[in-house]
Amino acid sequence: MNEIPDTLNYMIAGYILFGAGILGYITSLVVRWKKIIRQKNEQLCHNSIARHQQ
Amino acid sequence: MQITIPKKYIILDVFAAICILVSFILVMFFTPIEMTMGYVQKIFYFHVAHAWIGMLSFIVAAAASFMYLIRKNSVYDLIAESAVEIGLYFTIIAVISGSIWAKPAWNTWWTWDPRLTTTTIMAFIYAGYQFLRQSLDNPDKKGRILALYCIIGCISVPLTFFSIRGYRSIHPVLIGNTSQGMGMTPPMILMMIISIFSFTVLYLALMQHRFLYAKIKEETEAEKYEMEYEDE
Repeated sequence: MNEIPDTLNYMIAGYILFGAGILGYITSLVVRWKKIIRQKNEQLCHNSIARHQQ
Repeated sequence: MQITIPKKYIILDVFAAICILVSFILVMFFTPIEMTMGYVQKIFYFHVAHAWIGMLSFIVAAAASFMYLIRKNSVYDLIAESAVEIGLYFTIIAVISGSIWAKPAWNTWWTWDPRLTTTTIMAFIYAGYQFLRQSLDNPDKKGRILALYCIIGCISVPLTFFSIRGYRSIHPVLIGNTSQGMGMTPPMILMMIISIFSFTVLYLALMQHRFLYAKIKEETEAEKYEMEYEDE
């Protein structure tokens, strides 16, 4: 009877890559989201001050 | 005024997370172990799903680019931008995971097989798209050039898909193969379908966030430009 080859390490490496890949992309999106929202809010604040001054 | 993520977005996010988690559990504990490759064959379920998302994204980007050229609506350009970014990311992961699978299966990390070569070319084409987007300034000109680039670049998608059918290749043929194949049993085929479905849901969830981000970014940059123009 043929023995099943031991390739468990490669499978683990593959799934670490998938997990890190998905989490990495989500993290990058969250960081960019936070940055743009901060910029947008600052801009809204700046606009309202400018309107008051007018 | 505060910008918040709409609730319907969060519902899809939760559904996508559940789908991926269920897929992972099913792959790990319920799919059979392939006799000739062993555990590493289980990479295939997520590897194929990643490659599918890559190709789907580039088709979506090409369709959105085509619509942009017809309607001149920047929304389509933003859809293309989002789809290319996600597609490129998933394609790169598919290439690396394929390499991890190839080492025990083919006894090499890399070979210039038609499928591997065309997938790499496809990734470079869309990396080029990203560089081009960063380097162009004029919004209208930028939109038109990128749309054309994206439509022409989309030729690489069918080329990649059919590369293992038209040429001699050692890459396994999974879809539409009736002769040789991977010897996939019905539970393996079912798992492959579940994985592809789960990643499609994840793709939709990521797309909605990436598109909203691109939209807010565009608005913010336009307002910033207006403010600078008024100041001058």
